[in-house]
Amino acid sequence: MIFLFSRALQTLMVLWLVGTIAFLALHVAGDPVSLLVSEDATPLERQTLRQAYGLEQPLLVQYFIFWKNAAQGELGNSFYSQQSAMHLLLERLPATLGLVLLGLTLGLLLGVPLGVLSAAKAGSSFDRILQGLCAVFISAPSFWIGIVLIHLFAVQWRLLPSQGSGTVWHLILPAVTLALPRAAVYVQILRLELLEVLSQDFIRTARAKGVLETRVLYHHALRNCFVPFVTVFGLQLSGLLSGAVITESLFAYPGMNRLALDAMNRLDIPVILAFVLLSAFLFASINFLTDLGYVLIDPRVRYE
Amino acid sequence: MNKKNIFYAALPLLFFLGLAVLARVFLPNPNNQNLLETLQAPFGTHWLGTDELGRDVFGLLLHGLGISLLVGLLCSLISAAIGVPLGLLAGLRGGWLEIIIMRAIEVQMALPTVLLALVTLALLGAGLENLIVIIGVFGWAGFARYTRATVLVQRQLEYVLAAQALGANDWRTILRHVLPNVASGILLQISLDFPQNILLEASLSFLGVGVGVDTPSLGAMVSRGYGYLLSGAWWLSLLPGGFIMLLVLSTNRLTEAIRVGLDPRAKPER
Repeated sequence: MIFLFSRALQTLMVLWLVGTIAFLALHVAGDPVSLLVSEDATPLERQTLRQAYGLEQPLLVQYFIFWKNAAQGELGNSFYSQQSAMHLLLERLPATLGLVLLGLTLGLLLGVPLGVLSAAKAGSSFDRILQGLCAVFISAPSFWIGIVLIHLFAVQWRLLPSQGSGTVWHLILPAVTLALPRAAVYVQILRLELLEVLSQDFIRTARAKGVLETRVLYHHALRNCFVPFVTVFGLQLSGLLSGAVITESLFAYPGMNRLALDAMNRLDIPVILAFVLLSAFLFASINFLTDLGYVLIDPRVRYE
Repeated sequence: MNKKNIFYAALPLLFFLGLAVLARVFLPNPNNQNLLETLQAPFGTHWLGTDELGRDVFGLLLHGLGISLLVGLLCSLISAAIGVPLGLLAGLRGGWLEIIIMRAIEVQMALPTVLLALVTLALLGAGLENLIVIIGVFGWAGFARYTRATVLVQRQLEYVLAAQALGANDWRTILRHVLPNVASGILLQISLDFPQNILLEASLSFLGVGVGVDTPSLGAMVSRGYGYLLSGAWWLSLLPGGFIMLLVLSTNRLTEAIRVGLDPRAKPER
């Protein structure tokens, strides 16, 4: 309980720090008004804007107003579409969430059986080839994997669309691009963990009493590899929500990250701020849930 | 035996390094344009083809290779230069200094680096120097955490106690006694960090916020070449991307060999 409390506190502290840094970067390092008006604006125009955005108040007051609004999810309107920045991002969040979850699920479906097989046949030529492939997928930049897939499936064989969204077919290439490097990581972790577990006494006992080898692998051994696995999975989920920017940009997928990337290229400050805070929030809460997940999957884990 | 393994594992990386240096010395400027020979496929007059401005792709690749190696190394050195002293301080001094440093590490680690670098670069402006400094600075936490953990172990050992008993002050204990004992581990951390920096630079340049448009980095090459993929000019994006993959792959091999060499109990298979 105390552990959960301190983790929740830590999460809040990270959010506070990120928000403060973002606020300072915006208000101390630069003048927000100069980003809002055209270069030849008169001093009167600047003054009007200043009052409209409450910028003539002391910095400390502005800081409190910033947090009061941020707590309500209100971080100002986009300079371009004039809509609420947070609203714009939340509108795109389901698309990103869907893509990331599909990518991670594909990665699991591919990585877990291959990892178990690789450990069961450690040292065989199958194992060696798979390890080589994993090394390649881990070393390759993710955009390169995506481009190879586009080249093969969209340009050469004309099987799948490479840009945009709308149908299920549009999701396949970006999801596979996300899945392949994750699957490679799962294979390597599972193989290493399983080799460790398989040499323990309870596995020998299970085999001695005549349990089928597949049941030994999937029922007895795999369960003991869950903790490091969940750590990596949680880190990947939280990292990908705001890290799928390359995949979204490559496939012109209308997710949250591409919106944020466009905002960064146009210096659309409210959207950037909202994106930073939303990402930090998602990142911190998923890491928190990962810690909770340990207790659920492994009864040996107890937080005091 | 171990030294031999490390040497063999280092060969591909040394090969890349040699290529990059030779290209700088002997090849003509890769930015030379030839508008009569644009978008030529590989294996013609130009070994790996030409880009949309008629520049030789092979020359550009070797030039970009040099930039990737430089970025990877400089960023790791900056990260280590910030992280290692902080880690040493936290580990040896303890107290409130340690608490502050540890909290800072947690906050830094709780934020995705790609996102941080992306936002900072968007606000500060793109460019090779900005990119190197930003990737370098944001990488400090891993080094600090590793150094502190190692120092905590070393602090318990008799030689540190002996040095302190002889009247050595904190700085002398750190620099003359502890640092040489943790140096090999820090080197390993640098070789772990190095390929990650190369990938990060490539990703940021691919997104268009990394190096400037005139710098022929491998990531920027992929970004420009991607525009010609659908019209069939695959070599402009697939080749530089593959080059990054080979570079990172050979670095990872070397790191693995060093890791096994440093730790006799480490299993040779991953």
